Amino acid sequence: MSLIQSGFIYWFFVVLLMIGMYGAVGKDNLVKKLIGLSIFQTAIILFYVSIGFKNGPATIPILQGGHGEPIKDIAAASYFNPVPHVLMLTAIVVGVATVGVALAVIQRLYAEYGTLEENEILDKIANS
Amino acid sequence: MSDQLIILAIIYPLFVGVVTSLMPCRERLLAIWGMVHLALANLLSLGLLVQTLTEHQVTYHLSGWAPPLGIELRATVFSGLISWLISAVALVGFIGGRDTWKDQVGERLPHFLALFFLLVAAFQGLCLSNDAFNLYVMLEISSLATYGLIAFGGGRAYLATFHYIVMGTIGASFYLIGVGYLYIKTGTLNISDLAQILAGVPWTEAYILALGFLIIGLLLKMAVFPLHLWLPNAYTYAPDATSILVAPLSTKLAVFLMFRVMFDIFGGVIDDNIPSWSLFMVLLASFGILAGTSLSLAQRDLKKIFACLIVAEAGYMLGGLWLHDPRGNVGALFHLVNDAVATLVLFLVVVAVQESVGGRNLGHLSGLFRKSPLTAAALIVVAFNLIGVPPFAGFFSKATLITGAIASGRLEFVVALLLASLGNLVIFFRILERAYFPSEEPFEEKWTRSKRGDVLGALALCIGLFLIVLGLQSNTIMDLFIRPVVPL
Amino acid sequence: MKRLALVMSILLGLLLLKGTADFPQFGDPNSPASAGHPNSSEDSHVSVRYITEAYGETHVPNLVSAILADYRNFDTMFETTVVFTAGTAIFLILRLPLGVLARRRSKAEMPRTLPPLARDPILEMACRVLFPPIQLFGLYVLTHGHYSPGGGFQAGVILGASFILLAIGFDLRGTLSRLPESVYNPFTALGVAFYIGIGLLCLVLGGNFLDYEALRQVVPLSSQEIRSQGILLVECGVTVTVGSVIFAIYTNLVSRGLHREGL
Repeated sequence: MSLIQSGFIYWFFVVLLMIGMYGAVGKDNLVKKLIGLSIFQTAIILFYVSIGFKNGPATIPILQGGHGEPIKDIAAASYFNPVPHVLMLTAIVVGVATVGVALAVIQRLYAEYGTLEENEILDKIANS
Repeated sequence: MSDQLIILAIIYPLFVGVVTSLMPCRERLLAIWGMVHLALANLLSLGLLVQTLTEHQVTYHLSGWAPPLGIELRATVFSGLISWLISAVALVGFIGGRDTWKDQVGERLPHFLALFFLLVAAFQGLCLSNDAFNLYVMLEISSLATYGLIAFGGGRAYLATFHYIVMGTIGASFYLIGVGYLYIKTGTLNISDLAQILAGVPWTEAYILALGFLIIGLLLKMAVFPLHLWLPNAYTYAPDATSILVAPLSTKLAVFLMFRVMFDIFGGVIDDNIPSWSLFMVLLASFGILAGTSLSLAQRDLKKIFACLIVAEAGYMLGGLWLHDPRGNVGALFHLVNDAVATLVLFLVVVAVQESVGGRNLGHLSGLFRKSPLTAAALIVVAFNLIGVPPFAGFFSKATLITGAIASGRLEFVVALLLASLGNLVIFFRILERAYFPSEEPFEEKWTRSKRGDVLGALALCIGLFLIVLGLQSNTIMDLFIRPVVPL
Repeated sequence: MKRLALVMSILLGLLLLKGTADFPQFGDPNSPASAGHPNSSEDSHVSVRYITEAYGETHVPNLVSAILADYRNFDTMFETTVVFTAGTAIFLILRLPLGVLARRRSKAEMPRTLPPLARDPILEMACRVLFPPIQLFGLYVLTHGHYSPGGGFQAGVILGASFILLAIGFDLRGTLSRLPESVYNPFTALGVAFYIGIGLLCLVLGGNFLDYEALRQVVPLSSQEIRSQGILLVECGVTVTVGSVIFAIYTNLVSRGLHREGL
């Protein structure tokens, strides 16, 4: 089956994505939603980094022998694709920033309503 | 110098924003500082617009590296127009929101304005960048700045912001998944390169799903029904100075991004390859228009009425983009410009009404005609525009959309558009009736009326009259700016 | 709601899996991402060109740093802006002026007397001993980011973490007396401003934005050396912003914006 042929490795990221999506949408507790969101973003980071992997004698994209001796004979097949790593550095930072802002909002929500369950907050809003 | 205009349009607001966070909290100083810099940003964008008209397309290689090695910026005539629109709306929004600073912002003004400028810079970047991943970063900066600006409102804004964070991040992440699927199949992130590759390959599942995820992510950002749940609360409970900037631009830029995905990346031939999607999208858009209008009818808070109208307007543009006929696409893009200006007027009116009559519920509006006739006139003008009365721009955009829909055979879209006009008529009739006739219920008069309401009303009226200009010149504008970028 | 979420997640998972059927083989060195697509315009693919040419053009063996801070430095500038935006947004949300707090009448924020501080000499000594090496390591990660995994963001986080260690080991108010808000808040902006400033300098000197070649008119180095130094400069800006923002986010979150007591 072609799904298994191309790499069941992609299934990991799909399962993580599903877990993250379920947490972000299905849970009532605000912090659990945030954790689900974080798992969701991490799954995407995993996916991108897996794009850059190369079989065979390939290692991380830092040229060997960088200290001192002049570097020669750089073969593209002996280093991972560096571009997904670069992109994911940005994505990680964006994820951290979003989690930070969401935590600040959650703190204010707790100070305002005294609870972190979304249904209870909605009840308090409806009754106020 | 002129070839640096495109980068300065993005960098200038960014730099000003970063420096603004270091400034002392003096209201007058910051007001003048902001206005001067936004005026200069306007000049830069205007220069860029003129440049795109003369050179037809402006590209810029960042860091000196040619794409796809480096990141590229690209401006077409339409992006030049949107870039100027962003600066102009920011300037007007800044002036309009200034009166609310004392009550709603207070001591945190430098940081608030820093986020304001960063948001403008991110919008410019969204408009001008030609790299798919760079667009994601711009999307996230605009989202983060918006979260901060909206949450600052306090009270119910906190829950609204949290919902916005969850839905907005899921949307941006779907966009990122789409870009990832495209990258793994093509190996490039540059939009022009992607277009070239996609033009020559058969669209297998990965490509179709990439398009699907890009679209769903952008639908979340555009707040199309049923993914609109975050928008009404977020825009209503935000501070007024925020919603004047965010409401006219944020969803419209997501529409522009969808246009770029559909036409710049996938070449505008989606209908030929996957015809069923167009069917579904136009149907969804029609439902969205009706849902947004009905949501609007059920509200009593003026700001929330206008926020729900944004959901309906997103439906117009989504449907227009997915129609087969190029007239539908042209109509959608013209409606983008028209709606940005109209939403600006609507939210200016909200601030003006609050200054004039002290509240923004329908019940507070009584006597608005007497107290601030200019604000009421602005309300009438924008009502005509939204209902679609000639010579306002709203009529021409609706007419183009309807022509395109009939030519494509999508009558449900025509019906939705006409029903929406009727719905808008009812909504604004209710508002204006309340404003005209003094109501019997007494409410506290201990609040004093401020003259600033008149000034804001006058400003809103001027922008509203600009809508007439937009309408009368609609054909010229469409020929100059829109038809060149839409494939026939 | 839970059932809807379950259905949505499963649907999403199935869609994603359907797309993966088409993907290139995992780890294939000739996949389009690693070796280029036959339809694309250039002769040698971007990724291959980065690996083979980046050292010759920038003298930076760490390819990720080279791409991050030279070829795609526009993205990195906006990434730094993301960090700055997050710090400012958290500041805006949490650091409400005390008057506003009183007006909003949230009981959790009412001022109350602080409990007496329990001091643990072993913990304090350990933090004191660890603080300088952590900072030194952070600076090392910054400067050695050319040759080993590292760079601006990582170094910034390590530097920020050193202050967070002080705040946890001692107390928040003591650490804030050493690094007050009036100091670290401007630094968040200064890092980004420095980064943009370098770009503008390149612009003023005649090149494109963030094109380090233009800096050769100011500093007479070879093309590769100026790129290497330009990368370092830009990473310094990133470190300053990220370090201050990490500490700022910590102090604001842990004290709920009051800066009175930490963990």
